[in-house]
Amino acid sequence: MKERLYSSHIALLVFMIQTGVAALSLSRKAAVYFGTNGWLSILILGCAAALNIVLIAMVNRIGNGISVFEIMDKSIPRFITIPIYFFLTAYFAIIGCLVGKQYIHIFQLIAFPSASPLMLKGCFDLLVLFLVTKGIYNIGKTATVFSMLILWMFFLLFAFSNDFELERMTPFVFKGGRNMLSGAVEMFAAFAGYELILFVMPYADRSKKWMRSVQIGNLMTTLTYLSLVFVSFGFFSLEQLKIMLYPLLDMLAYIQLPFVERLENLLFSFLLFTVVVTSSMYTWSACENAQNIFPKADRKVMSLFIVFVMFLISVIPDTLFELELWLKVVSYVEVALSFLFPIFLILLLLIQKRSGVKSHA
Amino acid sequence: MASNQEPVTLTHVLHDFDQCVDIVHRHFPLLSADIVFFDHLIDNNALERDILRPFANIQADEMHNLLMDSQFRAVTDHKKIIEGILKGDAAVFHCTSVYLVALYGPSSRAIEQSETEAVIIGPHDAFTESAFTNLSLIRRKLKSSHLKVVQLSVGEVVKCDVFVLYIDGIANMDYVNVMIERIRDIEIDIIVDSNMLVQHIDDYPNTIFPLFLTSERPDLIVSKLSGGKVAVIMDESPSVISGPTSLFEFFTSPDDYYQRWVIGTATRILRYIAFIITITFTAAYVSITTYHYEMIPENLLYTLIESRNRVPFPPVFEALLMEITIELLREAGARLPSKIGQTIGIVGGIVIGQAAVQAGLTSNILIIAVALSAIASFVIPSYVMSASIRFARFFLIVLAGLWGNFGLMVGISVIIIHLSKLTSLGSSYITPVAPLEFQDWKDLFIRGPFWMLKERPTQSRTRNKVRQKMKR
Repeated sequence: MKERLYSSHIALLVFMIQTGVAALSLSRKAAVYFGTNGWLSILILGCAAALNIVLIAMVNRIGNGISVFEIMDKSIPRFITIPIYFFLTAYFAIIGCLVGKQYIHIFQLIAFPSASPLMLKGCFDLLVLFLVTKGIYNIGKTATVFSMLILWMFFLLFAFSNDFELERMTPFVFKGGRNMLSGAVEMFAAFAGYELILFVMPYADRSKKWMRSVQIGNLMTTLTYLSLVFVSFGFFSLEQLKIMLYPLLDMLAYIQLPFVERLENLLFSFLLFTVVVTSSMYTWSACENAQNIFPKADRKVMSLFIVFVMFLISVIPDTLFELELWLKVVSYVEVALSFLFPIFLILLLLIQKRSGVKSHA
Repeated sequence: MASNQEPVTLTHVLHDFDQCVDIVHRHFPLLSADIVFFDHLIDNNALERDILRPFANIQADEMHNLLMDSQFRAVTDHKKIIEGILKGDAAVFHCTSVYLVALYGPSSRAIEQSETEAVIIGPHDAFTESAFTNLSLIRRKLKSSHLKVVQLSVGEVVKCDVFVLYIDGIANMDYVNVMIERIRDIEIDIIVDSNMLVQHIDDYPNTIFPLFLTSERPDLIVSKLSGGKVAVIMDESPSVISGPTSLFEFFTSPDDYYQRWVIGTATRILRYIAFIITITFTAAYVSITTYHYEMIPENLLYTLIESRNRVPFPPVFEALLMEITIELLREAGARLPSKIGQTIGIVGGIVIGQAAVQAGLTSNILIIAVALSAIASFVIPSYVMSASIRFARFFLIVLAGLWGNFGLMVGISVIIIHLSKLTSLGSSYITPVAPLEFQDWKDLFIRGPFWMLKERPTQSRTRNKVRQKMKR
């Protein structure tokens, strides 16, 4: 009765890795970089991510589902792969750490100004460690439950139907924006995370459907972002959106119930579920890479060490501004890596196939 | 003790039961026979019918012919004779031979209504401490030769009978075999109740959540068996185990199916709301009144401040104090006779609650929150699950007191991560949410109309999936 990572797990896992705190500022970025009707940019970015997933699917198909490490170890000498794995370990750990720290900073900004961010981050990291040590199957199951606790928030968009005005959209497309290309790369970070599926390949249910479920996960993210940004473009004016730090939070603050106010405070707390999954999956991927450097190391000790290092790294960026600068730099690397790494793997696989055919001949 | 090779004598057996005043030894000098038994384990009518009356009506030379009758089982093994007497047989000693006669029939509790799983409509009979009565209650409802019963025994010092039940052709044999294997692997002196047994066959013994459903209701166990699950009856225990199970099964009750589906669905949804209230309501009070006053609307804020301004403790202490008080009242009420229990409830609820507010130890609103959480916890049909959830609530209150909404969400995350790890007989404990099986939702989150409930639960992994073929 061995557990498997089913297609539904993978779709929701991808959705949960992708969505996160980046959604809060996506409307502002779309307004600043793309200008009028900037919400259309989400469609373009979603398609780019879908294209990238096709590359990952090719790796899976050509490699017949074998792991990334197996592909690399077959063709590249170990003294070269070890620094690559080391870089990937550090890189994934940094992203996992920054994502968590960003959430903690924003939480402090809206609800907890007096609490120590390190204490909150420590608690967050313990939660990540708790999840990572449970293994990929349980991360998948947890992500599925967490997604149920997040998806209902989609219906909150109907709360804005009275104040939504189509006139705010204007007939102009992408006018009044600036640095569209670098902005697109920065915005693409909100979609990133699906590339971690490369490391999940050996654990997935070996049905043909599972790569389709990665696309479904990305489609869910795209549609969620699209509806969020579209509603905020119809709810706020373009100029308002450009100066708001987190337009989604301001929108949520607008919802009032008879027995509770400042609902954004509570709803933002729910985002913890998605941020934990994102951070855990990056940490898990870091562990997978580290395991290939030290194959005999105890997995739990290694996870503890990586999470501890992540905690130490998170001490460095002191302010939210500084943190977002770090994230901006990391997102450039992430975009490059998510496209180049699968291409690199496809090339390796093709070379391996060719040499395999030759040796058979 | 006599060895198994030596002929078993009456002296040996009586020696083993030395200083057992409850053993009965009767000598029949005319027949040169002796019988040994425990008076309280046997049915006196059966003793009269099977032994005393035949013995009274024969001569010494007819004794051999009588002992050829089917009720007399010749036994040579000393250990088996001792076991037989302990299980309610009478041992008949004649010359050098020993025979056992099954006379088991101790006085036992009559079939009554379950106190812990009461239902308003539907069958009211509940299991008793007798395994055979329980088997009979199940067989009466499940008249099928496909219902198979495997007998096992647990306990190294004291053997206790355990019966594994399943429906052949519906239950997945992997589950049946795992269950049998786990019961066989138990090495312990004695197990006295199935709620103790269940902790020895759990996948994760350290979790606070029950990983098998235990029930006193035959109708519930029959429905589980027909759904492809495995049931375990333990002698001397009124609770019957069923597995594999999922967390959501604990929120279902047999009477959901005895009502119209809309009412059944509404009741089931009410239980899930009760679950959310139980686990989060007091913690949310602590979180909001400690860190997030801005979330309270202005009109309500004045009332809350007025209610809290005399309370000298931080909300987390105030809440823990009241929650512990409620738990004390509940425990005291459960242990005392029902009439005194009710008095304790009134004294606790009204006097202590009111006095605590007047003394300025707690606020009115907290009393409402704590009382609501407590009432909601009793809406959950399973007492074991209700106790687990109440325990988890304390964890959330402490975290909410430490870090407000953030702490509350961290606590909920920890519980969900923990639940995701759990398995029951190797299958996911949070089925049908993960793995996502939408077809099971209509029988767990709602109580769909019968025409919708066509298939058995996915968790059963049965090959015989179709439960009914009706169109309406």
